[in-house]
Amino acid sequence: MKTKGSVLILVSIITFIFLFSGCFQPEPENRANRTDQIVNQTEKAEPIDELIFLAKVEVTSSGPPYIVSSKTVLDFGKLPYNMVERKEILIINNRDFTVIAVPSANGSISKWITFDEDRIIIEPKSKNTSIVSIKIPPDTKTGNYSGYVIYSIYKS
Amino acid sequence: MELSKKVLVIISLLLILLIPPLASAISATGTITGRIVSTTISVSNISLGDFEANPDLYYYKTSTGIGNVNLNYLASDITPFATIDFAMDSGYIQISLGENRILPSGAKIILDDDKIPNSETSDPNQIQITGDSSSQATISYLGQNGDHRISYDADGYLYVFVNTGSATSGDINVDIILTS
Repeated sequence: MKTKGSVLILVSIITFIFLFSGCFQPEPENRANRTDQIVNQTEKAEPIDELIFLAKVEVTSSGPPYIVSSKTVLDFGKLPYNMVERKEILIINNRDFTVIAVPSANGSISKWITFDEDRIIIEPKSKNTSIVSIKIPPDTKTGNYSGYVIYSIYKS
Repeated sequence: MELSKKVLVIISLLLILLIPPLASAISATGTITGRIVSTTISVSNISLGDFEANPDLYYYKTSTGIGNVNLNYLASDITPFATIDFAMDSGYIQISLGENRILPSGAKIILDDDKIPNSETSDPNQIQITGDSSSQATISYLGQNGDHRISYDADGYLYVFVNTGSATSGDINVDIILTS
């Protein structure tokens, strides 16, 4: 009776260890197909998080640029026409799953803002970069413009 | 009583094994963070105009046109090439060259954090760009640490001087990329 009980305990323990140790995890999918799936998913899913950066610029007709080196604000300083300014953003994913960051911009500054990638895939416990650029067209009215750059984060 | 104790032990063992796997399956630890790590700007539209070839003079832009000084003299009316506002009130500007690199052979461009054109031995915190034999601009002096950087203890300005050196004629069209 004692022997049967011990065996039962041992079998139960071994069973639970196998169930949760990853032995029954699905095989990795083909990465190209996975990327397509990721793209389709972001169009349907709700974001799990957002990174929001204030963006601002003072447009000048001429003169030297005024460069602002901020870690938290997309401050393009003072920028004359036709001069291109780029800011590199480092996105760090401390989660245990892959995420996709989808950038967008709003506000009066948004019409001049471009991104090097429209979707940034970041593996778990990893990081990736996004380049935000601005170029002021000639004949733009001088003055201050602002808005927000938002990275919507989706779970892969 | 013995049977109850056995049941209790089994249940306890199962709970000990069950809770950690469940915890990792349903929790989403960690966060998503982001920060701006660099700013880059390509300056290509600063026009100096025409000036005479003279190896002793260092030309610079003023609010009304072009000025010049000799080596080691203050250019009091120079206008900045760029203004830099550092987040932590100190930092650096890294210099590189863009697409346009036309600079007559022997001519020199000095990028400096002050208004006095000096040699690199007198003022190592500067960058020098020189025209090579093909009239292409190359960075000939890479800064005091050899890293293409000009260091700042506080927010400041970047100034540019042009010396024609041994060149007697030619166009200057150099795109300078600033990265902070």
